[in-house]
Amino acid sequence: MKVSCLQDGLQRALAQASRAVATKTALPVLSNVLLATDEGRLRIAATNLEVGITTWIGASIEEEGRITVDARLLSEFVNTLPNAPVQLAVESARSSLTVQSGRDKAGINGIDADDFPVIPSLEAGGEAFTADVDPQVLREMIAQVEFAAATDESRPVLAGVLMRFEEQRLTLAAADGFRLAVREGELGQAVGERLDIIVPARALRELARIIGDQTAPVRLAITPNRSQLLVRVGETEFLSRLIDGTFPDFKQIVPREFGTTLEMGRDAFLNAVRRASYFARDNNDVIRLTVHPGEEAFMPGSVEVSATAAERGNSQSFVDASVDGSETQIAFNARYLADVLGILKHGQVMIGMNGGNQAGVVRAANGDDYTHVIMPMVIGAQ
Amino acid sequence: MPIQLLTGDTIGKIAAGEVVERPASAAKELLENALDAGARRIAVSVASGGTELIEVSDDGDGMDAAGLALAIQRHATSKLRRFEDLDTLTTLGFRGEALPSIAAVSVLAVRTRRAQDATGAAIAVRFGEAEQPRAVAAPPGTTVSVRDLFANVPARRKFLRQTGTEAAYIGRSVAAYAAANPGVAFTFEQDGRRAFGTDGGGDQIATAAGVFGADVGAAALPLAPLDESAAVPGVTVEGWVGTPSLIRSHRQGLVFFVNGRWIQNRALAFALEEAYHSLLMVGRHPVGVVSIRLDPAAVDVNVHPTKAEVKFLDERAVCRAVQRAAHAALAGVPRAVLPELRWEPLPGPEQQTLAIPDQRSPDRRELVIPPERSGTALAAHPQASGVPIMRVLGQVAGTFIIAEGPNGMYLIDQHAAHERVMYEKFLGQIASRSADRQPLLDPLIVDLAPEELAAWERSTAELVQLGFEIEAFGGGAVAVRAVPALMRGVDVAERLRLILRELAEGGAGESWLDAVAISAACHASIRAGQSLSLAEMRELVADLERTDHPRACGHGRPTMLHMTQGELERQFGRR
Repeated sequence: MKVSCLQDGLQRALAQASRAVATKTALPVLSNVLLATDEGRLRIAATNLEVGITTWIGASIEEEGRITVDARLLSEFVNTLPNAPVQLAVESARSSLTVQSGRDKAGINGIDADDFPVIPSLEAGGEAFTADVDPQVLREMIAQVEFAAATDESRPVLAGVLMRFEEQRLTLAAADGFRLAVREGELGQAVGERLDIIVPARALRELARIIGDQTAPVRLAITPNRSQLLVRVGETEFLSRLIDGTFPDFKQIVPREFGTTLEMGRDAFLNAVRRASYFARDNNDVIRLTVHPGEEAFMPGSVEVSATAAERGNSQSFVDASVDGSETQIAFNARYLADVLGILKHGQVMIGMNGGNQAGVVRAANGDDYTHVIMPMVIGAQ
Repeated sequence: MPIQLLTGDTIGKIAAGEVVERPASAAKELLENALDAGARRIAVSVASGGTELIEVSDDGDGMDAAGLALAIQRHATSKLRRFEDLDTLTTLGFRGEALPSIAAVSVLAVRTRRAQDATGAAIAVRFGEAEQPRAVAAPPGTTVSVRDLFANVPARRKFLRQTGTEAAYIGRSVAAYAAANPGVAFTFEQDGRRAFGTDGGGDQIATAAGVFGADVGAAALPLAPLDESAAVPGVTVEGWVGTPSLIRSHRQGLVFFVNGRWIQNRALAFALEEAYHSLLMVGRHPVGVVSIRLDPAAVDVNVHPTKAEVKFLDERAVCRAVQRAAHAALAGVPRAVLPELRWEPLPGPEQQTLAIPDQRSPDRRELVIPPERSGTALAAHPQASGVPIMRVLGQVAGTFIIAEGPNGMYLIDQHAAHERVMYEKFLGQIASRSADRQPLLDPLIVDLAPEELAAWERSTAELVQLGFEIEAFGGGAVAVRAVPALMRGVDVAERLRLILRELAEGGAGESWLDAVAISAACHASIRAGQSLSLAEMRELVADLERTDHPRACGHGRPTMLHMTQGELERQFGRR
């Protein structure tokens, strides 16, 4: 292999691919990146068998070839080179990569590329399923949903995010047993068949990072063997394994009617929740919401946010809210409330509830594409 | 063989067999006589495990010559007139059997004088054959010497254990009586050497130190009278119990006296150990001398020839009194003593590093402490809880937290520590109400094995109180609708099964609720092998410092080990 490319492009590509490099692995080749010539470009790829990242950069190819070398060492070396052309060379007899830029030169011992796992690519074609979506919409959808996924592996499907493709709609849903987040978005065009896949939440977080501020549509595809999700973002492809199983029927969990609904400013409410959460820390993160309707019709009501820890003290905050329905009290885990309020945009939020024992629902007041369900906490009876 | 009346000699030997089982029982009878005589000083001397000599001398009431002649007759006693007197008996003896029984199987010599008499009296009995009493000069009180015990009963002699063992039995008896009678000055000599002595000053702790040594004295917690709400009417409990640092692998360090009589009672021992619950490791037993006083009518001492067992009218009340007294004693004292580790130095020249058990090879032990900090001692900050303020340094094997304290290094078992924290949180929550719970979005179905299902059925009420909401789902499965708020972030199904499995095996705790709480705390905790960030470890150690009993988890396993600064210095050859 004999290739020349620009330092900054190589640096960015290596940084991108390195996210998929395995950190603790028994398979040495997985801590390497693959460098391969590919139709006049240089392909850089890494995988930890959970996810894979492939990216292409422009390069002038003198001689075809491929090799894998330690990702960290190569990145660190390239990062310090000046922004000038970099020559990469592999002598066919030896598994060693020579990196040269001006008078700076390194020889990095590598592992034969034949030992590197094959990473499927959209360029190969033959996908079982494809759909296009706006990258910024997808990124926001992921951000609003992934944190609700379970962090433990006790119910594998809950460690993932459901992606449901149906007609021209994409639905993302995640739940950890105590809360559920559902977000709907538009697809570029309608899909022929309805499809449910479950993607590890961690992988989607990585995908959101790769999307960054991309604006060109993102293509989602299922590999021909239907076991992996493949996403094309500009010149980068992202691959993730899928989780086998059936996601719980989330629609049946979402309450449709509420005894009490309130609307209030998201910022003020989030602040009140945070204030209370410091006192709730020593008491299982329990914070109480007491909803006071206005004294007369059309009068604004308020929500009292309070927390008490026997040893630490207590706090009380009032947030103005327009209340529709009866006075009620409910207790939530402060973290769950802060999590969902944190990902909602500034503006008004709506909370719906049916007494202190039924699930509460949090939505943005001006849209119904996002629904967050939180189970309340039940305070022990005296 | 035709039926015939037994001779007096035979009757005597048979009776002796019941009362005098071994030298220690003879010593016990003589001690009880001395105490019944109102002695203020008692000296006990034995030789060759009591087979050669047991001598008990006291400064008590003494006897006149006529009384002495009677004393060695069977069923002669000054302590009882009618059977009904048993109900009001305040003396230790009452049958009038001890002296004649001993006399039947030994060479017995008694020398005695009443304070008001000018001369004393002495008598000798050789294997049941009494001589005439003689007038002798004697100090006030009574001295009884028993020589050649069982010389005429070879069968009994054959069954005696080694001299050292028999001597230890006697020593234990004398120690028990000495410890239970702080108002009486005891001295005990074995084969001419003074074994221990007490000053008779009436102080229980000083007496304990005199009998068992200064370390026991330092770790003895007096059993104080309980206030009215906690006291059990009609039962008073005195004496002392050892701190949890003072433990034995057997139960013999724990002795009970009822109205001054040394007795054996498993129920009492169990009741007292329950007060130590969660502070002792499995198989470890506390030490103490517990003196119970109650109306003589409420206890039947006449159930066993050696009176080693008694029957209580209301055994549970007595157990309750003992448990509460011990509980109060243990609650009131900071447990500052941590189990100290003494690591053996490594053999050979390799000993450059501190030796700590390494799981891979049992012999080779190494510990590497981050080099940025040398082991400088911090100022002592004694905490009410008995755990010093510690600075977390790191984690070993994903299981143990290394921390530095005011005096050296601490190793903390992260699971045991977290279990203690969780256990006390559960207890704190259920003290006045049921625990906070977090309902699940949709019920979690958990399949249970039959024994797990049975354990669940038995524990339904307790699990509800701890914050579980579980319903039968049919077919050996249950539906979990809510979990304790304390238990988030774990695999609920797996942990529930572990809890139920432990409960199916009996659980551990004062009550079933406690057993369920211990089990829930254990299985809601961080496990061994889970790597923790420095911040998490700091929080855990801080939480542990705040607990009431930080030194052991709910199951009684230790939470921490301590290696002192001095020990570290010794290991490195700096001392």
